[in-house]
Amino acid sequence: MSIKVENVSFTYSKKTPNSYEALHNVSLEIKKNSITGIVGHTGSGKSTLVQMFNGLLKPETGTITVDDFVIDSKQKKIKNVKQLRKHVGLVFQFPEYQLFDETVEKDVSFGPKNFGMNNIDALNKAHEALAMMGIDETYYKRSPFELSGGEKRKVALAGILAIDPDILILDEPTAGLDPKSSLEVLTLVEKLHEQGKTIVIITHDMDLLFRYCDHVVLLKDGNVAFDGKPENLFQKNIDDLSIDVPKIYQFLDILKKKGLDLSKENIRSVDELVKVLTERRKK
Amino acid sequence: MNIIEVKNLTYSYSEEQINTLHNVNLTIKRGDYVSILGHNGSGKSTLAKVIMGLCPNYQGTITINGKELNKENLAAIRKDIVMVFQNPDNQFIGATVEDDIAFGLENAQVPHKEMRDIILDYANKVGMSNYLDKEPSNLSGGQKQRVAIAGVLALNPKIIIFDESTSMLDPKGKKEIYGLISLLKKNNPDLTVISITHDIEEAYLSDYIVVMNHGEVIKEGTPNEVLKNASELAKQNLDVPFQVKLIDALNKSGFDIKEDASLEEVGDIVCR
Ligand SMILES: Nc1ncnc2c1ncn2[C@@H]1O[C@H](COP(=O)(O)OP(=O)(O)OP(=O)(O)O)[C@@H](O)[C@H]1O
Ligand SMILES: Nc1ncnc2c1ncn2[C@@H]1O[C@H](COP(=O)(O)OP(=O)(O)OP(=O)(O)O)[C@@H](O)[C@H]1O
Ligand SMILES: [Mg+2]
Ligand SMILES: [Mg+2]
Repeated sequence: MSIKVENVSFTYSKKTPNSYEALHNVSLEIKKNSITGIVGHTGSGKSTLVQMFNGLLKPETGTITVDDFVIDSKQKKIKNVKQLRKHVGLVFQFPEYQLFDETVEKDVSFGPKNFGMNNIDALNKAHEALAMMGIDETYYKRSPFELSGGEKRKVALAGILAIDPDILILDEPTAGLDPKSSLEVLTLVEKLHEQGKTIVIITHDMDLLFRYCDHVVLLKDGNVAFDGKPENLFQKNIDDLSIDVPKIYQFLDILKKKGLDLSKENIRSVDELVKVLTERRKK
Repeated sequence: MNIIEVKNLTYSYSEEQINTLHNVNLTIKRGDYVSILGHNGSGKSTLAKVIMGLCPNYQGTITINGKELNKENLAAIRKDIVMVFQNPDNQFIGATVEDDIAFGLENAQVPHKEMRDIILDYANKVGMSNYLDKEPSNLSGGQKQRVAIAGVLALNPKIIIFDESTSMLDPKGKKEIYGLISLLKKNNPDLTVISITHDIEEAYLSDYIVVMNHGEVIKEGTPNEVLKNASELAKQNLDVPFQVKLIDALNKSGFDIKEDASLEEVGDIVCR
């Protein structure tokens, strides 16, 4: 078990004219040590959903169980919320929501310090996390607000990595990152996954989903529209789902129309495809 | 004709810092759709902000639509060129989506009686007409980007700079926005669009590509000139468009396919 969501609804600004129900009776389960992708159209409720996993938002109905933590809509306050935030690290969609301190180094060392580390250890931890994100020492004393968009995201990611949570939730972690940095982040995610961590990634990038995730949840208007394996998602009629077919699938579809059906080959990358096509040609 | 000319532009945010932009020279043709690529921190947003007149202490000259960028011309230039910022939150001023779009129109001295129609039209075009009375800060990430885009399109400018303005849109939303831009360009072939992006597939479809690296322009040209060589792209930390990657890999394993073949043509060859 890692995260179990049972009959959860959520309404923003309840009892005001702006009241808006963003999630309707959602149930799903995220298994320990999986890499789960959460996809769905703009405004479908993705960011709302994951903010409940570490207690930033409280469900209006139902319960969320995260390993030993129970978040029950009937309770007034979430119990052990500080420990929960150590257990579940969430990187926001907009890094600006997370960055707050005067310098990059202070910002990233805040988390470990807040969870009990002494100053020196926390700084070391921060430097280590920044290095993982490719942010070198020339940035330590700079203001996190005077960085480029991608640099801000990397610092925000480092801030959560420094806490070393067991469950890592990334809300569009590659938006604004250059291709090399995206790959570095995703490679790191794979490594953390191998070390036993549970990963949740919100993304619109179907190639990413297909390449890295073993489980996908599709939200539509605050409901779960699909829950299963990524390869099965694209077999559905996706026209109205605001998702896209990975490019490799689009090409396989062109081949199929021309009479070459490779759907049984389980092809996931250009290299695998080229291998199959080359062998076929030799025959 | 060139709508933007940048000559020997050098800029640094502070004296202690090394140059963020170093001797940048760039010309952009009227009516082009230009993509600017480059690694994080390469100076793309800074270049855009300097061109917008937001970073005054630069060296070099910048000419926009025939007017040199300086204090006297700034107000006139701001009528020609608009920008969607990388973080839409930095752009919102109004308390509601409607106020926010109205604010820009007011600045552009659009008569009050025309405003409501323009706002409805553009909110509709980006699929946000049901959100006019919402607070911009309470929208989802993609909704914010849509509103920010509507706000600048409504101003009917000559040049639009998009700074990663579709990075958080769902694939369908992205297509809708690109469709909207190409419709606007069709109705007004002189509209110049500059798109700062990491999306190589988007860049592949543009008229012209500029590649930045550590504050300098290191490469520019048509997509075919800039993006055709897969191994060189990888060296420059650029992504490789799927099509280029596929053709390159097929040719390396013995196929003989033209560099600029379409996916349909590639399909015909491999199915033979
Ligand atoms: N603070 C808020 N107050 C009121 N409504 C909100 C608030 N935050 C989000 N909403 C609304 O709730 C819905 C779901 O928002 P959410 O941010 O969860 O979407 P999302 O799936 O993450 O979308 P995106 O891909 O655009 O980031 C949206 O319609 C949004 O307008
Ligand atoms: N307000 C600022 N003050 C000081 N330095 C800044 C400021 N904004 C950006 N920089 C620095 O200038 C350099 C260029 O930043 P810029 O925002 O132009 O990059 P970019 O190409 O847009 O990158 P990204 O793809 O990450 O958005 C970076 O090294 C950044 O740290
Ligand atoms: Mg979101
Ligand atoms: Mg930028």
